[in-house]
Order: sequence, then C-alpha cells, then structure tokens
Amino acid sequence: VVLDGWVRDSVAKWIKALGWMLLTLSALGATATGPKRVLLLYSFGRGFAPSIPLDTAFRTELAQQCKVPIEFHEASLEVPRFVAGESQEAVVAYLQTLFGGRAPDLVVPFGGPAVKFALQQRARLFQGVPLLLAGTDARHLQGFTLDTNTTAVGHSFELAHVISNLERLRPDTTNIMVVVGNSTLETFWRGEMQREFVSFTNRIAFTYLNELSLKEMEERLGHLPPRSGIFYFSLFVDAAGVPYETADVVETLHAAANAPMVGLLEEDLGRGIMGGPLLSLSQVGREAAHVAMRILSGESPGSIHTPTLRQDRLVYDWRELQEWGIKESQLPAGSEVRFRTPGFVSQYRGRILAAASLCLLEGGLILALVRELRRRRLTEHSLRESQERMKLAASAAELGIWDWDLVTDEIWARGPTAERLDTGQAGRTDYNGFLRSVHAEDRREVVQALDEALKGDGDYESVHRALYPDGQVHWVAARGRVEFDAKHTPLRMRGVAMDITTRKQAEMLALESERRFILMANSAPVLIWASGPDKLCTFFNQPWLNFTGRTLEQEMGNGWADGVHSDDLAGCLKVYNESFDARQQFTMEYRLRRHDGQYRWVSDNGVPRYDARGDFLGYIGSCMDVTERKHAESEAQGAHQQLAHVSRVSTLGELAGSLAHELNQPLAAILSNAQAAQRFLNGGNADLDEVREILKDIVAEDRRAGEVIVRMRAMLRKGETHMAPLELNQVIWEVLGLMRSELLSRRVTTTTHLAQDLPLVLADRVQLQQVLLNLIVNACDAMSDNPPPERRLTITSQLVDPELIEAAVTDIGPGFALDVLERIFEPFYTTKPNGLGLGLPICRSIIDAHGGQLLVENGEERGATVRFTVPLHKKEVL
Amino acid sequence: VNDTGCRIYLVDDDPSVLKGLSRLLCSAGYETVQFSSAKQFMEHYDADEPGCLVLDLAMPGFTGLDLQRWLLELNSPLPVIFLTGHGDVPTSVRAIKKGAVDFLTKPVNDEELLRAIREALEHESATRMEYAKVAAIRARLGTLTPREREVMEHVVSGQLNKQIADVLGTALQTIKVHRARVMRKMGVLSLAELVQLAARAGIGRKQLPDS
Repeated sequence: VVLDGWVRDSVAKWIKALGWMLLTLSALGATATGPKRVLLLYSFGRGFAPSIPLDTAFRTELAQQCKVPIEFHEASLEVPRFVAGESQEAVVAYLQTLFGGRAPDLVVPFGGPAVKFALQQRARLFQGVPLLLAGTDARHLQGFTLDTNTTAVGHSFELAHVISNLERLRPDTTNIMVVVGNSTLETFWRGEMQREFVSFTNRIAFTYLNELSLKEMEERLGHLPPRSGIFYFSLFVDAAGVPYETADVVETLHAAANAPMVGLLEEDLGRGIMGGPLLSLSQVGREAAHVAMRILSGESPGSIHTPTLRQDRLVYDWRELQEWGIKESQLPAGSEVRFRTPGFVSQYRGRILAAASLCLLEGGLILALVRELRRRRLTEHSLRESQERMKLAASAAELGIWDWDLVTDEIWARGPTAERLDTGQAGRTDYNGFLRSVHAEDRREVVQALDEALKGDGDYESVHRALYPDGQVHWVAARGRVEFDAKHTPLRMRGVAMDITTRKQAEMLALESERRFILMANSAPVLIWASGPDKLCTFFNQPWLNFTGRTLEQEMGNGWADGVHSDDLAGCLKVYNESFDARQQFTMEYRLRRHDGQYRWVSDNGVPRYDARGDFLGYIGSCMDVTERKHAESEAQGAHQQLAHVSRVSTLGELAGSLAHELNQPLAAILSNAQAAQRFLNGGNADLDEVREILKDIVAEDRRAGEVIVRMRAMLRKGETHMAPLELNQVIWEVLGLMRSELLSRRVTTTTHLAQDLPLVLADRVQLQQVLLNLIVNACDAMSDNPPPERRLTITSQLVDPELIEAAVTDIGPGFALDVLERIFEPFYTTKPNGLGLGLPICRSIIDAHGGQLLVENGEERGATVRFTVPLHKKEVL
Repeated sequence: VNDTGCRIYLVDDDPSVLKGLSRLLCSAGYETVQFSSAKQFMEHYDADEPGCLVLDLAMPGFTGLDLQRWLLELNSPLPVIFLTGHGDVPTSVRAIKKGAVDFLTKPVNDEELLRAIREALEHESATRMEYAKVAAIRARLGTLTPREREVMEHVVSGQLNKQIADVLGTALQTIKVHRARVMRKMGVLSLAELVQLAARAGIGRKQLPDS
C-alpha cells in the first residue's frame, strides 16, 4: 500500500515549522521576563475526575507559594477518546499556536499518557525547557532515561496492598470483581493487576469487567454472590466506548453494588469505597508544586530527587465499615476513620472538644463556661474547680483567660494573655495597664466596647491589635461577660482572649489576592465574569461593564442575561446550566448587546473553580468579541457553498446526456401508452378496462419522471448545509440510480458490498450525493481506456469504528501516478482535458466539514480506491 | 390492418417502455413479443419466422449493437429498428451502416414508429423474396457437375468459348456442349440472364468485357 502523499507531506511541513519555531522560542525564552509560564499537559482533559484534585492542588500550592506570578497554560491529549498517535500531531500543532512567540518556563505533564507524550516529543517540542513529570506511576517511566533537565514526582500503586487490605477486613472473600475500563491505558493496568494478583489466585478468583459497559457493570455488581468484593481501579472508557470524565462513576457503581468496594485513591473515599491504604492525588499535586517552585527559582531539575509517593494513608469511611459490619479494632494500627455520623460525635465530645478548632471555641466554649461559672459561683470550692477546668481547657486551645475585678480594678490573667499583657510578676495589672497594651489606633474602639458591656447587657466582644512586650503587633480576639449585683452594678468581668494574627494575616492575604485578581481582571483585554455555586453571577470586570454599558448591580445575578440576544438566550442558558450541573468546562458563542445597542458575537469560555480543598466555588469565564471572525467564517462558508454548487453543476453537466436518457425512459412509456389509448378509442371498439390500465401506467410513469427531476434539482440547488440523520447505503443507491444510464453507456459494471443494518450517519444528503457522484464519475473516467469487460466499479460501505462509517469507491483503471497523487487535492489541479480540477478538493472539504476523512490510495497492481468516513448520528445523551 | 403474420419483437430492459410500446403496436394491429434483454431474445429467436425487431440501444450486458452483430453473423434477414434515449450520431451511423432500418429516439411518436415498422416489414418481405430467389438459384447451381460449374464461372466472367477451351485444355466443341447444358439447367436463355443469376448467387464478380 502506498503511503498517502499528502499525509507525509503535511507531517513533514509540521516538523519543519516546529523546528523553526523552537529555534525562535529558545532564543526568546532565555531573555524573557514577566510571569513564569507553566504549561500543564493533561492526559485526559482537566475536567477529567482523577485530574481535578491533582491539578487543583498543584495550581493552588504553586500560586500561593511562588513569589513570582505564574501564568498557566494547558493542553490535553484527550486520551480516552482518541487513539494515541493520531491526535498527537494535532496537539503538537496546538502547542505551537499556543506558544506563538515564547517557550514556557516549565512543562508539567500530568498522568502516564501525557508523560509519555512529553518524553517522546521531547526533542521536537520541549527542547531546553525544564520538564516535571507528575502524577505518573513509576511503571510508566521504565524504559525512559531522564535527562538533566527532567525530574519526576512519581508515585507507585501498590495493587496487592489493596487486595490484602480487603482480605484482612473480610477474610472470607473468595471472589473479587475488578472494575477497570477498556482504554489502552487501562488495558496496560489490567495486565499489571493480573501479574501482581497471582499470589492471591489460590484462594481468590478475580474477574475483570473491562468487557462490560457501565450499565452492564451496574447490573453485574448488583447481583454478586456472598463473599464477594469489588476493587474499583478506574473506568475511563467502558466497553461500549463511552468515556467517563466525572467521579460519579464510583458513586453510581457503589449505589448498584451489593458487596464492599475498595479503591486506590483518597479522593474516592466518601464516594463509596471502604478505604484502606490510599494514595492522595492532592498530595502528589502539592509535592509537584514544591518541585516546580524549586525549578522555577533556578534549580536544575536533574538534581532534584523526590521519593516515590506510596499508598501510605490508612483511611476508612465509617459508613462503609458500619454497612459491612467491620469493627474499628480490625483496622490496622494508625488508621484514620472519616465520615462519622453526628450521633457518634456526641459520644466522644471530650476528645473532639480538645481538638476542635479555635473558631468553635471562640464562639461556643466561652458562653458555656461563663454560664457554668455563674451557676456555680456560690461555692468557692466549685468555683476553683471550674477555674481549674477552664484553665485546662483554655491551655488546650491556647486561649488566654482573664478576670477583671471592677471594684479593685485588678486584672488577673493566665495563659498567652498574661504573657502579652504587661502583668508583672504576679500576673496582675489594671485597666490602664491593659489599655497600654492595646494598639493606639484601636484603643478607642476597645474602650467603647467595654463601656457598652458594662452599661448594657454585659457581653463584651472585641477584635483589636495588641502590642506585645517585645514590641510586636498581634491581632487579638477577646470575649467577656460582666457579672452584676442585684442592682445591676458591675462587679467583675471574666473572659478569654486569643491570638488570631495568623488567621488575620491569611484574611488580609486573601483580600490582597482578591484585590490583585480584580486589578488583573480589570486590565485584561477580555470580558470576565464569575459566578457562585448557586449559578448566580457575582462579578463582572470593568471591560465587561464598559462593553455592555451597564452597572455591576444591573449585571449581577441573572441580570447579564438581559443583554443576550433573544434568539441565543435559550441555548446560552442551556449550555450554562447543563455544564454547571456537570461541573464541566464550556465554550459557547452568543450575541451580546454592546453599549451602542449593537449585538456582537462573543465566544464565552467558562471553567469551574474550586478552593484549595477541592470544594466547588462556582464558575469563572471570559468572553471575546468574535464578530469579525464570525463574519469572515460565514463569508468563507458562502464562498465554499458557491464553489460546491459550481462543481455540482459541472459534474451534472458531464452527465447531462445520461440524465436526459433517464428522463426519456418514462417519457417514452407515457407517449407510447397515451398514443395507444388514442388509437384504441379512435378504433371505436375500445376495451375500457385496458384504457384504464393504460392511464394508471401513465400516471405512474409521470411520477417516475418527476422523481428524476426532483433528484436533479436537489443536486442543482444552491443552499445551506442541511445536516440530518440518514442512511449512507440509501444515498449510494440514489446516486447509482441517477447514474444508471451513464454507467450503461460507459459499459461499466458495478458491484456493491454494502454492510447491512448500518447505523445512521449525520450528514447533508445532497453533499454526500455530490461526493459519491464525483468519485464514481472519476472512477469511470479512469477506466475509459479499459476494454468493456474490465470496467468494473466496486462500492463498499462498512462500520470501521464505533463512530464512523466508511464508504469506498474502487476502480481498476491505471491508478494515480505518484506525482498526481501528491497534487490531487490541490484546487484547479486536473488531469482531465475538460476538468475544472475542483472535484476532489471539494469532496475532501465536504467530508472534512462532516468530521470525516477522505483518502486516496492506489491498488496493489492497478486501480485506485477513494475512501471517506462519515461520523455516526449520535442520539442525544442526557 | 396487418395480416402479414409478421410479429414485432420488442427488446428493452425497461419494463414500462416495453409495455407501452407493446400496447401501441397492438393498437395498430401488430402482434408483439416482448423481451427484457438481448440474451432472452437470442434464446427464443427462430430465423424462419418473419417479423421485425425494435431494439433498445443501451442495455446492461449484451447491448443492442451486440445483438445486431449477432444477427448479421447468423445472416438473418430480420430488419432492426433501434430505439435510443439520446441521438448519438456516431452510434446511429454505425448501426445504419450495419444494416439497421431505422434509428429512432425516445420518446418516439406513433406515426414515426409505425412508418418505420411498415418500411421494415416491406424491406423484410423483399429480402425474404430475394433470399427465396437466391435459394432457387443455388438449388439450380447444385444440379451442375463440377466441370459445368467450372465452365459457367469462366462464361460469366466474360471469357469466350475459345479462351475457356484453352484454359481448361479441352476442345472447343466440348465447351460448347457444357455451356448449352449450363444454360438449360439454370433455366436461362441469354448470357445476360446467366450473369445476373450468377451475380445474385455471388459467383464471378469480375468485370464484363467491353463489347
């Protein structure tokens, strides 16, 4: 088989272009300043469940810790959907576009396929750029030698540990279902599991579910015999070829399963796996961020060595342990149990109190203690006791406690407060001493708060800056309560105080980062919006407001939708809501009203945002005015349609004689029938039944002639593309019908091998007819010098992929000469004396527009085949 | 109207056209036999049956021209009228050169078709008559002895008795006797008649000598 010239050619072009680009890139990269550019290369897309925690942890950690600003770029190999290799060139091309002028400062591939891609394309794409391989199992790095500019934050799945863990908790397990998908990557892992589970096979039978669809898996896992267990490895792509991007799969399978499920990732805990030794992807992400930081600050990647991360966290889901009757005493030492129900909390109140956060204490504890104090103050003994307890509790929570005798103006303090206040040796001071410790700027507020407490209901609360004896300024939160006598004369005031400097600094940092974000957003050349987890919009940047000419208040919530063109609104909201619910990234185009009243096309790209803990916060999106591009597109579309029309007309012109013949057949029958009837009637002895029969035939033939005309008119019609589900085989028959006479007069015999029961394709009928017509005419032309018995045309159709149908037209002519083959898709290139040279280029552009491919190849001895694919019509999946 | 006992053979791969033509000819009083392919016609063809063939030019497999060639090889007197979807000049010239009576384009007008059939049938009967005459001449030729046949060939080629005697190496008188027998057996009174018969039978196509 001869390799398609054009394929080779375009690959060569890319390589040349890349070579040039990289030369330029490395020259610029060395001297560039400004934010550090980090390219994240995903294996499966950023929205893909296992990538999210890794990605989020990495970005958050890097953004928080790194001193220089970071600019993230991302690209995805979209591995589950495409066969590796086929899409690699596209990714390479994309990266070229992305880095138009300047190479990234660091490339971080996430996951096995991306790592492999980066290492393989190292010489072409990332030469001279530090490479940080992250989220890849050590097994995938085997066979690669890492150069000095590359390092890896690797992990290693200990598959056998998972099974031993299940066996420890459920010793009677004899049967384990392994949930694993059918992608290339998962097939690799299935092999690893089969190898590593050998030591269990004398007592446990393993069944791999890679040949089932998700639905079938659910069914299977719901009817497992007793003493079964489930090992959830992964389900990226099931046997039906459906990719699963979200973590819901675990939940779905858990909901269906009637046996306990174990897994590998800490991120899946809480979604249905029981737990065990787990690997935290967030931790992998954080580790990677630390290494990234070192690289960005100039360390050589080759000198950074990080230990391989393992499943060293023993974490369990309390609810699952309960469900399968597993006691906590069975768990290995050092295990952590999560997701206890509230009822459980109350049993262990003491332990939890000690460990509870400062915020909780700040709010609840003091009131409880004060109330308790009041209740027991009659008994000196009890009082001391309670003070002791309070001290104990306070020291556990790093609280300072204080007691102000209003009668003697003596302040007595313990704990951190005492260290802070200049209380002298006895731990005592007075009101003025206390005020001296308060920052001058906050003093007025503190006095006022105290005053209100003393005159009012007795509750005191204050957040202020305090001056430590060493001169440092700290933030302090204090609460207290005044005790009054019967006449409402204040006697004393007791309370707690704590140092909240760290939290305050974090708040200010957040405020600062928000301020920075807003500054950035407002100076960006795009329209930016953000929404909260309730879908309502909470932010629009200044360029957005300038564009729409409205105020932030008007746009907030759902106000922005007022500016969307009414024809686009429903579609726009549908995409927004559905993507939002699925937490998926989206890109959509709609018309947005500009301040001058003109509607402009914008391309809106929204991504879900998460906080450092992976909690969903809402969406952030950016819009660009693409009106100009849109116009250019529609002009190009128009020109293309015009050209396609011209080519159709010219093809039909070639067939004109034959088409006339096609029309003449029914006309001949009509004329003969009609004249026969006239003669019968003129003869005077007409058989009316016969005449009736004749008229019936005339009507039928007239209809037949009409159909020929309709078919021709459809082909000659100028018009927009009309995509509809249709049967490819039927289109083939229609074209063969249209060309019957042509084939007859050229003495070409046709053989068809059309696969039966093919699914529908999504295509424009007329355009497909045009492609087939062109290919068949070409094939006939190619065989015109053959003797008639050797003018054989073969047309085939078959399913070549779960998503593509292929049709092929084969002739036994001389085939294409090699120099012709190279130029065959060039517009206006032709080998025919009267050819326009547009046939094949237009066929290819039509098939491209349908999302298929059109290829030309020579036969082994003679002849040529032109094959093209058309994607299947996908039923709406909701 | 037509009581010649002639049948019209219709060959067309389009059943609707076949049916329409058959009805038209039926209305004009002809008996028709319909065939949907050349092959089918060839299986049923009987050279002794008089008639006329109305033949579609473009058919899958064996075409109209192929069938015409086949009939020529059989020496069939059957006249052929071609019907075609579009008037293709080179093809029609070729068909007519090979003896087709007419070449009509679809849709064909009744008068035109019936005229062509009429002419074809006349032509056919003339041909048949000619065939019959030739057959009679051939029968008479069959009664000649080899020597008489030899003498006759020389006579019709315009040679004088004396020349014939020289060529054959016999006496002049012997040639005269042979010649008289030939004239009697062939049933002719003059040399001119003999030459005509011989020409019809395809014997001695040499030029007559100047007289």
